[in-house]
Amino acid sequence: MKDKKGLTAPCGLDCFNCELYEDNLTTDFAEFIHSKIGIPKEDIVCKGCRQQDGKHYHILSGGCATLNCIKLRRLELCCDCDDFPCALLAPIADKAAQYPHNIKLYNLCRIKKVGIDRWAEKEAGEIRQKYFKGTFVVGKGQAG
Amino acid sequence: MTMEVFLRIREMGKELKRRRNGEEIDYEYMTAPCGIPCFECYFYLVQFDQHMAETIAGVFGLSPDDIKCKGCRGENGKCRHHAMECRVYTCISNTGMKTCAECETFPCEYLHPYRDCAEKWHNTKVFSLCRIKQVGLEKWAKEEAGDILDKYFYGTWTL
Repeated sequence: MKDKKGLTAPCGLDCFNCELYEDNLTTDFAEFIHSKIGIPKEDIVCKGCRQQDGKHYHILSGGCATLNCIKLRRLELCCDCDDFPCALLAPIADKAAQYPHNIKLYNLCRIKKVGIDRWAEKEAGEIRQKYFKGTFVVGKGQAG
Repeated sequence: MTMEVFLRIREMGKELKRRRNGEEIDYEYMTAPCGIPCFECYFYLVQFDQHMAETIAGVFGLSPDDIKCKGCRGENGKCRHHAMECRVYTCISNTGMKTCAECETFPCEYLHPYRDCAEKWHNTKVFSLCRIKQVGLEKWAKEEAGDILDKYFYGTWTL
C-alpha cells in the first residue's frame, strides 16, 4: 500500500486519486491525452508531485510556485504555514470544469481538521468525485 | 447564463460600489454566514441605482423589485441567485455564530466546492472564511473580499 501522505501535494491535491498518476493512468486515457496534446506518452504518466519535484507537462517552466514556496519554508503542507491560506490557494473559475484546483483549500482544511491519514482514507476520493460530479445546491454542498 | 454575462453584471456592480465609496457599511451584517460578501453583490448594490436595477433585472428576466436584495441576513437567508432556501443560513441561525468560520466542524459539506455552477460564487466561500479567520472580518471586507472575487472571475488558471 503506497504512502498516501507522500502522494499528497503540498497544495492539498490528492495525487493518489489523479487519473494521471501511474497507478491510475489507463492506456486509453494516455492515448487520448497524447492525441490531444501530442506529448510523448512517457511524459504523461505522473509519479506524484513530490516524486517529480512538481514537474509535469501541465507546468510552465519555472516549476510549481506552491511547491517552490513550501520548499523554501521547509514545510510539508500549506496548512502548516503561518500565512495559510495565501493567494496561491485562491479559487479560480478558469478551467474549473477540467481541473480540481478549487478543491485544494477544502482538502487542506479537512486535513487540518481530521488529520491527513483519515482524510486520505475516508474523504479525499469522495471530495474529488463530488467536485466533478456533484450538483450545486445553495447552502447545501453535498450534505444530504 | 454565461461567464461573460456574469462578468458584465459584476462590473456594473463594481461601478455602483465605486460610486458609494465612503458610505458606511456594516460589514458584519453584510457578510453572509457562508463568507460571501453581500456588500460586493450587484443584487444588493442595484437598490442604489434604479436604471442599473432595470438593466440587470432584464438580463435575469426578472423585475427590478425581484432582484433588489438587502443581503443574506436582511433576507433571512434567501439568496437572489437561487430560488431555494439556504441550509447554511438555517444551520447557523440555530447557533450564536456569525459565520461558518467560527464553527468547530468548519468546513463541512455545506461549503463543498463544485465545478457545477462555477460561474457563481460558491467556490470562493472557504477561502473567504479562512481569510476572515486569519485577518478578521473588517480587514478582509475592506482589503480582500473584492479582490478575491476578481481573482476568481478574472484569474487565469496555472498549476
